[in-house]
Amino acid sequence: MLRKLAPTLFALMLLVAVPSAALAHNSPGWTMVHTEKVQAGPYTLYIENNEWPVLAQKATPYHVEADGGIANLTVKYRWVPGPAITAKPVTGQLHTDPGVKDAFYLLRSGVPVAGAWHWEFEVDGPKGHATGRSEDFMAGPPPAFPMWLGWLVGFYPVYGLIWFIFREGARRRRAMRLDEGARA
Amino acid sequence: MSNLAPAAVKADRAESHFRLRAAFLAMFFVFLNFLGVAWDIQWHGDVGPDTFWTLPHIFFYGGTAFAGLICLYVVLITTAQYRKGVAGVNDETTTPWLGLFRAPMGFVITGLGSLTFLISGIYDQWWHSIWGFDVTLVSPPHIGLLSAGLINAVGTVYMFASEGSRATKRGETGLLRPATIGLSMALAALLAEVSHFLVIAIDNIRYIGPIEFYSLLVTMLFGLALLGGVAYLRRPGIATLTALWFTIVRVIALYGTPWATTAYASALNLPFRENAHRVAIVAVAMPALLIVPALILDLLTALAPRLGLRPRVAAPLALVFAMVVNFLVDRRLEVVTRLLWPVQMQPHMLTDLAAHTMPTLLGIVVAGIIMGWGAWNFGVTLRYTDK
Repeated sequence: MLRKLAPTLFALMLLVAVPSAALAHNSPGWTMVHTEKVQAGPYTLYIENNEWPVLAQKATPYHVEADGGIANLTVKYRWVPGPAITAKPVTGQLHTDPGVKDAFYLLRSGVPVAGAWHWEFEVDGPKGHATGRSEDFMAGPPPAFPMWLGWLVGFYPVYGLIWFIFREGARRRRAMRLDEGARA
Repeated sequence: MSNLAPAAVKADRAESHFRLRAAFLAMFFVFLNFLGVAWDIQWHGDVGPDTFWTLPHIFFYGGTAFAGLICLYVVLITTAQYRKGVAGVNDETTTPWLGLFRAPMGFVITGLGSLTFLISGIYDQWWHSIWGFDVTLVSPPHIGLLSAGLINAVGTVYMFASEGSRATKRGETGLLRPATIGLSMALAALLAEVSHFLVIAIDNIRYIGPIEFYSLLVTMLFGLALLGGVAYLRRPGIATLTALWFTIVRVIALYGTPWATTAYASALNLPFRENAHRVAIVAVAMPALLIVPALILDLLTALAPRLGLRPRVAAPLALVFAMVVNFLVDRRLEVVTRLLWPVQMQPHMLTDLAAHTMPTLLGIVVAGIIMGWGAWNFGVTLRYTDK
Protein backbone atom coordinates (compact mmCIF):
# COMPACT_ATOMS: atom_id res chain seq x y z
CA MET A 1 0.00 0.00 0.00
CA LEU A 2 2.81 2.41 0.95
CA ARG A 3 4.52 1.69 -2.36
CA LYS A 4 1.43 2.93 -4.16
CA LEU A 5 0.78 5.79 -1.75
CA ALA A 6 4.17 7.48 -2.19
CA PRO A 7 4.15 7.97 -5.98
CA THR A 8 0.43 8.81 -5.86
CA LEU A 9 1.05 11.62 -3.37
CA PHE A 10 3.98 12.95 -5.36
CA ALA A 11 2.03 12.82 -8.62
CA LEU A 12 -0.88 14.60 -6.92
CA MET A 13 1.51 17.31 -5.77
CA LEU A 14 2.84 17.87 -9.28
CA LEU A 15 -0.69 17.83 -10.66
CA VAL A 16 -1.65 20.69 -8.32
CA ALA A 17 1.67 22.47 -8.77
CA VAL A 18 1.77 22.82 -12.55
CA PRO A 19 -1.49 24.73 -13.19
CA SER A 20 -1.39 26.58 -9.89
CA ALA A 21 2.13 27.89 -10.43
CA ALA A 22 1.01 30.23 -13.16
CA LEU A 23 -1.51 31.87 -10.83
CA ALA A 24 1.32 33.53 -8.94
CA HIS A 25 1.62 35.90 -11.84
CA ASN A 26 -1.83 37.33 -11.11
CA SER A 27 -0.70 38.88 -7.87
CA PRO A 28 -0.56 41.30 -6.18
CA GLY A 29 -3.75 42.41 -7.96
CA TRP A 30 -4.54 45.26 -5.60
CA THR A 31 -7.53 47.46 -6.40
CA MET A 32 -6.50 51.03 -5.67
CA VAL A 33 -9.26 53.11 -4.08
CA HIS A 34 -7.51 56.36 -3.19
CA THR A 35 -5.11 58.71 -4.99
CA GLU A 36 -3.20 61.62 -3.51
CA LYS A 37 -1.32 64.14 -5.65
CA VAL A 38 1.98 65.59 -4.40
CA GLN A 39 4.05 68.28 -6.10
CA ALA A 40 7.78 67.98 -5.50
CA GLY A 41 9.40 70.80 -7.48
CA PRO A 42 9.12 69.88 -11.16
CA TYR A 43 7.94 66.35 -10.33
CA THR A 44 4.27 65.45 -9.89
CA LEU A 45 3.73 62.28 -7.88
CA TYR A 46 0.56 60.26 -7.34
CA ILE A 47 0.24 58.05 -4.24
CA GLU A 48 -2.33 55.30 -4.64
CA ASN A 49 -3.44 52.73 -2.11
CA ASN A 50 -6.08 50.06 -1.73
CA GLU A 51 -7.67 51.16 1.51
CA TRP A 52 -9.02 54.48 2.72
CA PRO A 53 -8.80 55.65 5.42
CA VAL A 54 -5.66 53.77 6.37
CA LEU A 55 -5.29 52.13 9.79
CA ALA A 56 -2.25 52.56 12.01
CA GLN A 57 0.16 49.58 11.89
CA LYS A 58 -1.84 47.80 9.19
CA ALA A 59 0.27 46.98 6.13
CA THR A 60 -1.15 48.69 3.06
CA PRO A 61 0.28 48.46 -0.43
CA TYR A 62 1.11 51.81 -2.07
CA HIS A 63 1.86 52.58 -5.70
CA VAL A 64 3.69 55.84 -6.34
CA GLU A 65 3.52 57.04 -9.95
CA ALA A 66 5.04 60.12 -11.54
CA ASP A 67 4.08 62.28 -14.49
CA GLY A 68 6.46 61.25 -17.24
CA GLY A 69 7.15 57.87 -15.62
CA ILE A 70 9.41 56.73 -12.82
CA ALA A 71 12.40 55.73 -14.95
CA ASN A 72 15.57 57.55 -13.82
CA LEU A 73 13.90 58.75 -10.60
CA THR A 74 15.23 58.03 -7.11
CA VAL A 75 12.63 58.74 -4.44
CA LYS A 76 13.03 58.77 -0.67
CA TYR A 77 9.93 59.08 1.49
CA ARG A 78 9.09 60.03 5.07
CA TRP A 79 5.87 59.55 7.00
CA VAL A 80 5.90 62.54 9.31
CA PRO A 81 3.59 62.74 12.36
CA GLY A 82 1.51 65.85 12.95
CA PRO A 83 2.16 68.02 16.01
CA ALA A 84 -0.69 66.47 18.00
CA ILE A 85 0.87 63.01 18.20
CA THR A 86 4.08 61.69 19.67
CA ALA A 87 5.78 59.39 17.21
CA LYS A 88 8.99 59.14 15.24
CA PRO A 89 8.92 59.68 11.46
CA VAL A 90 9.16 56.56 9.31
CA THR A 91 11.68 56.76 6.47
CA GLY A 92 12.70 54.67 3.51
CA GLN A 93 13.38 54.54 -0.19
CA LEU A 94 10.88 53.60 -2.86
CA HIS A 95 11.66 50.63 -5.08
CA THR A 96 10.12 49.09 -8.15
CA ASP A 97 8.50 45.68 -7.88
CA PRO A 98 8.31 42.92 -10.48
CA GLY A 99 4.52 42.75 -10.15
CA VAL A 100 3.87 46.50 -10.57
CA LYS A 101 4.38 48.37 -13.82
CA ASP A 102 5.14 52.12 -14.19
CA ALA A 103 5.03 52.80 -10.44
CA PHE A 104 7.12 52.43 -7.33
CA TYR A 105 5.74 49.85 -4.91
CA LEU A 106 5.76 50.18 -1.13
CA LEU A 107 4.51 47.51 1.24
CA ARG A 108 5.29 47.87 4.90
CA SER A 109 3.55 48.13 8.26
CA GLY A 110 1.41 51.25 8.45
CA VAL A 111 2.16 54.39 10.44
CA PRO A 112 2.88 53.41 14.06
CA VAL A 113 0.10 55.40 15.77
CA ALA A 114 -3.31 56.80 14.84
CA GLY A 115 -3.67 60.51 14.06
CA ALA A 116 -2.64 63.08 11.46
CA TRP A 117 0.41 62.24 9.30
CA HIS A 118 1.77 63.47 6.00
CA TRP A 119 4.18 62.22 3.33
CA GLU A 120 7.42 64.00 2.49
CA PHE A 121 9.36 63.13 -0.65
CA GLU A 122 12.89 63.75 -1.77
CA VAL A 123 13.15 63.21 -5.51
CA ASP A 124 16.28 63.02 -7.63
CA GLY A 125 15.95 62.79 -11.39
CA PRO A 126 16.69 64.36 -14.77
CA LYS A 127 15.12 67.64 -13.61
CA GLY A 128 17.35 67.82 -10.52
CA HIS A 129 16.73 67.45 -6.79
CA ALA A 130 13.36 68.45 -5.30
CA THR A 131 11.25 67.95 -2.19
CA GLY A 132 7.52 67.96 -1.59
CA ARG A 133 4.88 67.09 0.96
CA SER A 134 1.33 65.79 0.87
CA GLU A 135 -1.75 67.07 2.61
CA ASP A 136 -2.28 65.59 6.10
CA PHE A 137 -4.05 62.25 6.19
CA MET A 138 -5.77 60.71 9.20
CA ALA A 139 -4.71 57.21 10.18
CA GLY A 140 -7.39 55.32 12.10
CA PRO A 141 -6.71 53.16 15.18
CA PRO A 142 -4.93 49.79 14.65
CA PRO A 143 -7.01 46.71 13.73
CA ALA A 144 -9.36 45.54 16.48
CA PHE A 145 -7.60 42.17 16.87
CA PRO A 146 -4.60 43.24 19.00
CA MET A 147 -1.07 42.32 18.04
CA TRP A 148 -0.28 40.84 21.47
CA LEU A 149 -3.22 38.45 21.13
CA GLY A 150 -1.94 37.54 17.67
CA TRP A 151 1.40 36.55 19.16
CA LEU A 152 -0.29 34.65 21.98
CA VAL A 153 -2.25 32.61 19.44
CA GLY A 154 0.63 32.31 16.95
CA PHE A 155 2.86 30.64 19.52
CA TYR A 156 0.40 27.79 20.14
CA PRO A 157 2.62 25.08 18.60
CA VAL A 158 5.37 26.18 21.00
CA TYR A 159 3.07 25.60 23.99
CA GLY A 160 2.52 22.08 22.68
CA LEU A 161 6.28 21.55 22.34
CA ILE A 162 6.90 22.75 25.90
CA TRP A 163 4.17 20.46 27.23
CA PHE A 164 5.71 17.60 25.24
CA ILE A 165 9.18 18.22 26.70
CA PHE A 166 7.81 17.99 30.26
CA ARG A 167 5.70 14.94 29.41
CA GLU A 168 8.71 13.18 27.91
CA GLY A 169 10.84 14.04 30.94
CA ALA A 170 8.24 12.43 33.18
CA ARG A 171 8.00 9.38 30.89
CA ARG A 172 11.80 8.98 30.93
CA ARG A 173 11.99 9.16 34.72
CA ARG A 174 9.12 6.69 35.08
CA ALA A 175 10.72 4.24 32.64
CA MET A 176 14.08 4.54 34.38
CA ARG A 177 12.47 3.76 37.72
CA LEU A 178 10.85 0.64 36.26
CA ASP A 179 14.04 -0.90 34.84
CA GLU A 180 16.40 0.84 37.27
CA GLY A 181 18.00 2.76 34.44
CA ALA A 182 19.10 -0.33 32.51
CA ARG A 183 18.67 1.37 29.15
CA ALA A 184 19.94 4.79 30.27
CA MET B 1 19.06 -11.18 22.65
CA SER B 2 15.32 -11.15 22.41
CA ASN B 3 13.08 -12.95 24.92
CA LEU B 4 10.30 -13.08 22.33
CA ALA B 5 9.12 -16.28 20.65
CA PRO B 6 10.35 -16.66 17.03
CA ALA B 7 6.84 -16.11 15.62
CA ALA B 8 6.47 -12.93 17.66
CA VAL B 9 9.90 -11.73 16.51
CA LYS B 10 8.90 -12.35 12.89
CA ALA B 11 5.64 -10.40 13.31
CA ASP B 12 7.45 -7.60 15.12
CA ARG B 13 10.06 -7.41 12.35
CA ALA B 14 7.35 -7.26 9.67
CA GLU B 15 5.71 -4.39 11.53
CA SER B 16 9.10 -2.64 11.78
CA HIS B 17 9.58 -2.97 8.02
CA PHE B 18 6.25 -1.26 7.46
CA ARG B 19 6.98 1.52 9.95
CA LEU B 20 10.45 2.19 8.58
CA ARG B 21 9.16 2.52 5.02
CA ALA B 22 6.46 4.91 6.21
CA ALA B 23 9.02 6.83 8.29
CA PHE B 24 11.39 7.35 5.34
CA LEU B 25 8.47 8.50 3.22
CA ALA B 26 7.22 10.95 5.86
CA MET B 27 10.76 12.26 6.32
CA PHE B 28 11.11 12.85 2.58
CA PHE B 29 8.07 15.11 2.73
CA VAL B 30 9.41 16.89 5.83
CA PHE B 31 12.58 17.70 3.84
CA LEU B 32 10.37 18.89 0.99
CA ASN B 33 8.59 21.16 3.46
CA PHE B 34 11.91 22.63 4.58
CA LEU B 35 13.07 23.27 1.01
CA GLY B 36 9.68 24.76 0.14
CA VAL B 37 9.87 27.24 3.02
CA ALA B 38 13.48 28.11 2.11
CA TRP B 39 12.39 28.70 -1.50
CA ASP B 40 9.41 30.79 -0.38
CA ILE B 41 11.64 33.02 1.76
CA GLN B 42 13.93 33.44 -1.27
CA TRP B 43 10.97 34.14 -3.57
CA HIS B 44 9.61 36.90 -1.32
CA GLY B 45 13.07 38.37 -0.86
CA ASP B 46 14.01 38.44 -4.55
CA VAL B 47 10.82 38.57 -6.61
CA GLY B 48 7.88 38.77 -4.31
CA PRO B 49 4.37 38.63 -5.75
CA ASP B 50 2.24 36.33 -3.69
CA THR B 51 -0.96 34.41 -3.84
CA PHE B 52 -1.66 31.17 -2.07
CA TRP B 53 -0.95 29.32 -5.32
CA THR B 54 2.78 29.73 -5.80
CA LEU B 55 5.14 26.83 -6.42
CA PRO B 56 7.04 27.31 -3.13
CA HIS B 57 3.70 27.23 -1.27
CA ILE B 58 2.76 24.03 -3.10
CA PHE B 59 6.06 22.50 -2.02
CA PHE B 60 5.85 23.35 1.64
CA TYR B 61 2.11 22.94 2.15
CA GLY B 62 2.20 19.78 -0.01
CA GLY B 63 5.21 18.47 1.91
CA THR B 64 3.60 18.88 5.29
CA ALA B 65 0.16 17.74 4.09
CA PHE B 66 1.51 14.53 2.59
CA ALA B 67 3.70 13.82 5.61
CA GLY B 68 0.48 14.25 7.62
CA LEU B 69 -1.48 11.94 5.31
CA ILE B 70 1.13 9.21 5.64
CA CYS B 71 0.96 9.56 9.43
CA LEU B 72 -2.84 9.46 9.33
CA TYR B 73 -2.64 6.29 7.27
CA VAL B 74 -0.24 4.65 9.74
CA VAL B 75 -2.33 5.71 12.75
CA LEU B 76 -5.58 4.40 11.24
CA ILE B 77 -4.14 1.12 9.99
CA THR B 78 -2.29 0.49 13.27
CA THR B 79 -5.46 1.20 15.26
CA ALA B 80 -7.46 -1.21 13.09
CA GLN B 81 -4.79 -3.91 13.38
CA TYR B 82 -4.56 -3.43 17.14
CA ARG B 83 -8.31 -3.93 17.47
CA LYS B 84 -8.17 -7.03 15.28
CA GLY B 85 -5.35 -8.40 17.44
CA VAL B 86 -2.85 -8.65 14.54
CA ALA B 87 0.49 -10.13 15.68
CA GLY B 88 3.16 -7.47 16.23
CA VAL B 89 0.60 -4.71 16.91
CA ASN B 90 -0.16 -4.74 20.62
CA ASP B 91 0.28 -2.84 23.89
CA GLU B 92 4.06 -3.38 23.71
CA THR B 93 4.43 -1.86 20.25
CA THR B 94 1.85 0.96 20.15
CA THR B 95 1.02 4.04 22.19
CA PRO B 96 -2.60 4.91 23.04
CA TRP B 97 -3.83 8.28 21.85
CA LEU B 98 -7.01 10.10 22.91
CA GLY B 99 -8.44 6.78 24.11
CA LEU B 100 -9.41 6.02 20.50
CA PHE B 101 -6.26 5.34 18.53
CA ARG B 102 -3.17 3.16 18.90
CA ALA B 103 -0.08 4.12 16.94
CA PRO B 104 3.70 4.52 17.10
CA MET B 105 4.33 7.83 18.90
CA GLY B 106 6.45 9.41 16.13
CA PHE B 107 3.64 9.19 13.59
CA VAL B 108 1.21 10.84 16.00
CA ILE B 109 3.69 13.69 16.58
CA THR B 110 4.39 14.32 12.89
CA GLY B 111 0.68 14.03 12.13
CA LEU B 112 -0.07 16.66 14.76
CA GLY B 113 2.77 18.79 13.40
CA SER B 114 1.18 18.70 9.94
CA LEU B 115 -2.22 19.57 11.35
CA THR B 116 -0.64 22.44 13.30
CA PHE B 117 1.12 23.63 10.14
CA LEU B 118 -2.10 23.72 8.15
CA ILE B 119 -3.97 25.52 10.96
CA SER B 120 -1.16 28.08 11.13
CA GLY B 121 -1.45 28.45 7.35
CA ILE B 122 -5.15 29.30 7.69
CA TYR B 123 -4.26 31.67 10.53
CA ASP B 124 -1.71 33.30 8.19
CA GLN B 125 -4.34 33.90 5.51
CA TRP B 126 -6.71 35.38 8.10
CA TRP B 127 -3.90 37.47 9.61
CA HIS B 128 -3.28 39.12 6.23
CA SER B 129 -6.94 40.12 6.04
CA ILE B 130 -6.71 41.81 9.47
CA TRP B 131 -3.18 43.25 9.56
CA GLY B 132 -2.45 43.49 5.85
CA PHE B 133 0.11 41.75 3.73
CA ASP B 134 3.42 42.86 5.20
CA VAL B 135 5.89 40.22 4.03
CA THR B 136 8.11 39.55 7.01
CA LEU B 137 9.33 36.29 8.49
CA VAL B 138 8.63 37.52 12.00
CA SER B 139 4.84 37.47 12.31
CA PRO B 140 2.63 35.47 14.70
CA PRO B 141 1.36 32.98 12.07
CA HIS B 142 4.84 32.54 10.59
CA ILE B 143 6.26 31.63 14.00
CA GLY B 144 3.42 29.09 14.23
CA LEU B 145 4.30 27.69 10.80
CA LEU B 146 8.00 27.40 11.57
CA SER B 147 7.33 25.80 14.97
CA ALA B 148 4.95 23.32 13.33
CA GLY B 149 7.78 22.40 10.96
CA LEU B 150 9.89 21.62 14.02
CA ILE B 151 7.16 19.36 15.41
CA ASN B 152 7.03 17.52 12.07
CA ALA B 153 10.76 16.82 12.27
CA VAL B 154 10.66 15.85 15.97
CA GLY B 155 8.10 13.19 15.02
CA THR B 156 10.43 11.67 12.42
CA VAL B 157 13.22 11.51 15.03
CA TYR B 158 10.88 9.52 17.27
CA MET B 159 9.85 7.22 14.39
CA PHE B 160 13.42 6.09 13.72
CA ALA B 161 14.54 6.08 17.36
CA SER B 162 11.62 3.81 18.14
CA GLU B 163 12.52 1.39 15.36
CA GLY B 164 16.17 1.39 16.45
CA SER B 165 15.11 0.56 20.02
CA ARG B 166 12.79 -2.20 18.78
CA ALA B 167 15.53 -3.73 16.62
CA THR B 168 17.91 -3.65 19.61
CA LYS B 169 15.24 -5.24 21.78
CA ARG B 170 14.80 -8.04 19.24
CA GLY B 171 18.55 -8.50 19.30
CA GLU B 172 18.97 -8.02 15.56
CA THR B 173 21.18 -5.73 13.56
CA GLY B 174 19.44 -6.02 10.17
CA LEU B 175 16.95 -3.24 10.79
CA LEU B 176 19.13 -1.35 13.25
CA ARG B 177 21.24 0.00 10.40
CA PRO B 178 18.41 1.63 8.37
CA ALA B 179 16.86 2.87 11.63
CA THR B 180 20.16 4.52 12.61
CA ILE B 181 20.69 6.05 9.18
CA GLY B 182 17.08 7.24 9.26
CA LEU B 183 17.61 8.72 12.73
CA SER B 184 20.66 10.68 11.57
CA MET B 185 18.66 11.99 8.60
CA ALA B 186 15.71 12.88 10.84
CA LEU B 187 18.04 14.78 13.18
CA ALA B 188 19.38 16.64 10.13
CA ALA B 189 15.76 17.41 9.12
CA LEU B 190 15.20 18.80 12.62
CA LEU B 191 18.29 21.00 12.28
CA ALA B 192 17.17 22.13 8.84
CA GLU B 193 13.80 23.21 10.28
CA VAL B 194 15.66 24.99 13.10
CA SER B 195 17.60 26.94 10.47
CA HIS B 196 14.56 29.07 9.60
CA PHE B 197 14.81 30.50 13.12
CA LEU B 198 18.49 31.26 12.46
CA VAL B 199 17.38 33.63 9.68
CA ILE B 200 15.35 35.51 12.31
CA ALA B 201 18.38 35.50 14.62
CA ILE B 202 20.50 37.09 11.88
CA ASP B 203 17.93 39.58 10.57
CA ASN B 204 15.83 40.53 13.57
CA ILE B 205 17.30 39.55 16.96
CA ARG B 206 21.05 39.86 16.55
CA TYR B 207 21.99 40.21 20.20
CA ILE B 208 20.58 39.36 23.59
CA GLY B 209 22.43 41.91 25.66
CA PRO B 210 26.03 41.57 24.43
CA ILE B 211 25.58 37.90 23.39
CA GLU B 212 25.15 36.96 19.73
CA PHE B 213 21.73 35.28 19.61
CA TYR B 214 22.59 33.22 16.52
CA SER B 215 25.50 31.49 18.21
CA LEU B 216 23.46 30.86 21.34
CA LEU B 217 20.69 29.24 19.27
CA VAL B 218 23.19 27.11 17.36
CA THR B 219 24.77 25.92 20.62
CA MET B 220 21.44 25.02 22.17
CA LEU B 221 19.47 23.52 19.30
CA PHE B 222 22.28 22.02 17.22
CA GLY B 223 23.88 20.76 20.42
CA LEU B 224 20.58 19.17 21.43
CA ALA B 225 20.27 17.24 18.16
CA LEU B 226 23.92 16.23 17.71
CA LEU B 227 24.54 15.18 21.30
CA GLY B 228 21.03 13.70 21.58
CA GLY B 229 21.95 11.33 18.74
CA VAL B 230 25.22 10.39 20.45
CA ALA B 231 23.43 9.77 23.77
CA TYR B 232 20.92 7.56 21.97
CA LEU B 233 23.30 5.41 19.96
CA ARG B 234 26.36 5.35 22.30
CA ARG B 235 28.56 4.62 19.33
CA PRO B 236 30.72 7.15 17.54
CA GLY B 237 29.65 8.40 14.14
CA ILE B 238 26.04 9.51 14.42
CA ALA B 239 26.83 13.18 15.07
CA THR B 240 29.14 13.24 12.05
CA LEU B 241 26.59 11.41 9.90
CA THR B 242 23.89 13.89 10.97
CA ALA B 243 26.18 16.81 10.12
CA LEU B 244 26.91 15.22 6.74
CA TRP B 245 23.19 14.99 5.83
CA PHE B 246 22.71 18.53 7.10
CA THR B 247 25.58 19.75 4.92
CA ILE B 248 24.09 18.04 1.86
CA VAL B 249 20.72 19.71 2.54
CA ARG B 250 22.53 23.02 3.01
CA VAL B 251 24.27 22.68 -0.35
CA ILE B 252 20.94 21.85 -2.03
CA ALA B 253 19.37 24.95 -0.44
CA LEU B 254 22.46 27.07 -1.20
CA TYR B 255 22.38 26.41 -4.94
CA GLY B 256 18.79 25.23 -5.33
CA THR B 257 16.75 28.09 -3.90
CA PRO B 258 18.34 30.92 -5.95
CA TRP B 259 18.23 28.70 -9.05
CA ALA B 260 14.57 27.75 -8.50
CA THR B 261 13.67 31.39 -7.82
CA THR B 262 15.39 32.55 -11.02
CA ALA B 263 13.81 29.76 -13.07
CA TYR B 264 10.33 30.39 -11.64
CA ALA B 265 10.58 34.17 -12.14
CA SER B 266 11.81 33.61 -15.67
CA ALA B 267 8.95 31.18 -16.41
CA LEU B 268 6.45 33.78 -15.19
CA ASN B 269 8.31 36.54 -17.04
CA LEU B 270 8.87 38.49 -13.81
CA PRO B 271 12.05 40.52 -13.20
CA PHE B 272 13.88 40.54 -9.87
CA ARG B 273 13.32 43.30 -7.32
CA GLU B 274 15.75 46.23 -7.32
CA ASN B 275 16.86 45.27 -3.82
CA ALA B 276 16.87 41.49 -4.37
CA HIS B 277 19.14 39.42 -2.09
CA ARG B 278 20.22 36.97 -4.84
CA VAL B 279 22.13 34.85 -2.30
CA ALA B 280 20.41 31.87 -0.66
CA ILE B 281 18.87 33.50 2.41
CA VAL B 282 18.20 30.37 4.48
CA ALA B 283 21.28 28.38 3.41
CA VAL B 284 23.57 31.27 4.32
CA ALA B 285 22.12 31.17 7.84
CA MET B 286 22.78 27.41 8.17
CA PRO B 287 26.11 26.61 9.89
CA ALA B 288 28.55 25.87 7.07
CA LEU B 289 31.07 23.86 9.06
CA LEU B 290 28.83 21.72 11.26
CA ILE B 291 30.96 18.71 10.43
CA VAL B 292 33.72 20.18 12.65
CA PRO B 293 31.82 20.24 15.98
CA ALA B 294 30.13 16.95 15.05
CA LEU B 295 33.49 15.22 14.60
CA ILE B 296 34.73 16.70 17.91
CA LEU B 297 31.59 15.46 19.69
CA ASP B 298 31.92 11.94 18.29
CA LEU B 299 35.61 11.82 19.09
CA LEU B 300 35.43 13.20 22.63
CA THR B 301 32.43 11.12 23.71
CA ALA B 302 34.18 8.00 22.32
CA LEU B 303 37.37 8.85 24.23
CA ALA B 304 35.60 9.71 27.50
CA PRO B 305 35.38 6.14 28.91
CA ARG B 306 39.13 5.64 28.30
CA LEU B 307 39.77 8.81 30.28
CA GLY B 308 37.62 7.47 33.09
CA LEU B 309 34.91 10.12 32.60
CA ARG B 310 31.27 9.22 33.10
CA PRO B 311 29.19 9.95 29.98
CA ARG B 312 26.93 12.38 31.82
CA VAL B 313 29.99 14.43 32.81
CA ALA B 314 31.83 14.04 29.51
CA ALA B 315 28.84 14.98 27.33
CA PRO B 316 28.43 18.62 28.46
CA LEU B 317 32.21 19.15 28.37
CA ALA B 318 32.42 17.73 24.86
CA LEU B 319 29.50 19.87 23.73
CA VAL B 320 31.01 23.05 25.18
CA PHE B 321 34.34 22.37 23.47
CA ALA B 322 32.67 21.46 20.16
CA MET B 323 30.45 24.54 20.15
CA VAL B 324 33.25 26.93 21.15
CA VAL B 325 35.30 25.59 18.22
CA ASN B 326 32.25 25.88 15.95
CA PHE B 327 31.75 29.52 16.98
CA LEU B 328 35.40 30.37 16.38
CA VAL B 329 35.68 28.72 12.97
CA ASP B 330 32.20 29.57 11.69
CA ARG B 331 31.70 33.09 13.07
CA ARG B 332 35.10 34.47 14.02
CA LEU B 333 37.56 32.81 11.66
CA GLU B 334 39.16 36.12 10.71
CA VAL B 335 39.79 37.02 14.34
CA VAL B 336 41.20 33.55 15.10
CA THR B 337 43.59 33.60 12.16
CA ARG B 338 44.82 37.05 13.16
CA LEU B 339 45.39 35.81 16.71
CA LEU B 340 47.30 32.75 15.51
CA TRP B 341 49.44 34.62 13.02
CA PRO B 342 51.12 37.91 13.80
CA VAL B 343 48.75 40.04 11.76
CA GLN B 344 47.43 43.16 13.42
CA MET B 345 43.72 43.15 14.19
CA GLN B 346 41.57 45.87 12.74
CA PRO B 347 39.95 48.29 15.23
CA HIS B 348 36.42 46.96 14.64
CA MET B 349 37.64 43.44 15.47
CA LEU B 350 39.11 44.59 18.76
CA THR B 351 35.89 46.40 19.61
CA ASP B 352 33.85 43.31 18.73
CA LEU B 353 36.18 41.09 20.75
CA ALA B 354 35.30 42.91 23.95
CA ALA B 355 31.71 43.83 23.11
CA HIS B 356 30.42 40.54 21.66
CA THR B 357 33.00 37.78 21.12
CA MET B 358 33.97 37.24 24.77
CA PRO B 359 30.39 37.53 26.14
CA THR B 360 29.19 35.16 23.41
CA LEU B 361 31.90 32.64 24.28
CA LEU B 362 30.80 32.81 27.91
CA GLY B 363 27.18 32.37 26.81
CA ILE B 364 28.16 29.32 24.73
CA VAL B 365 29.93 27.75 27.73
CA VAL B 366 26.89 28.21 30.00
CA ALA B 367 24.38 27.16 27.30
CA GLY B 368 26.61 24.20 26.36
CA ILE B 369 26.69 22.89 29.93
CA ILE B 370 22.92 23.22 30.32
CA MET B 371 22.24 21.78 26.88
CA GLY B 372 24.77 18.99 27.38
CA TRP B 373 22.69 17.80 30.30
CA GLY B 374 19.43 18.34 28.36
CA ALA B 375 20.68 16.64 25.21
CA TRP B 376 21.88 13.61 27.16
CA ASN B 377 18.43 13.27 28.72
CA PHE B 378 16.89 13.68 25.26
CA GLY B 379 19.02 10.78 23.98
CA VAL B 380 18.08 8.65 27.01
CA THR B 381 14.40 9.45 26.37
CA LEU B 382 14.83 8.20 22.80
CA ARG B 383 16.42 4.99 24.14
CA TYR B 384 13.21 4.45 26.11
CA THR B 385 11.08 5.05 23.00
CA ASP B 386 9.98 1.84 21.35
CA LYS B 387 6.31 2.16 20.62
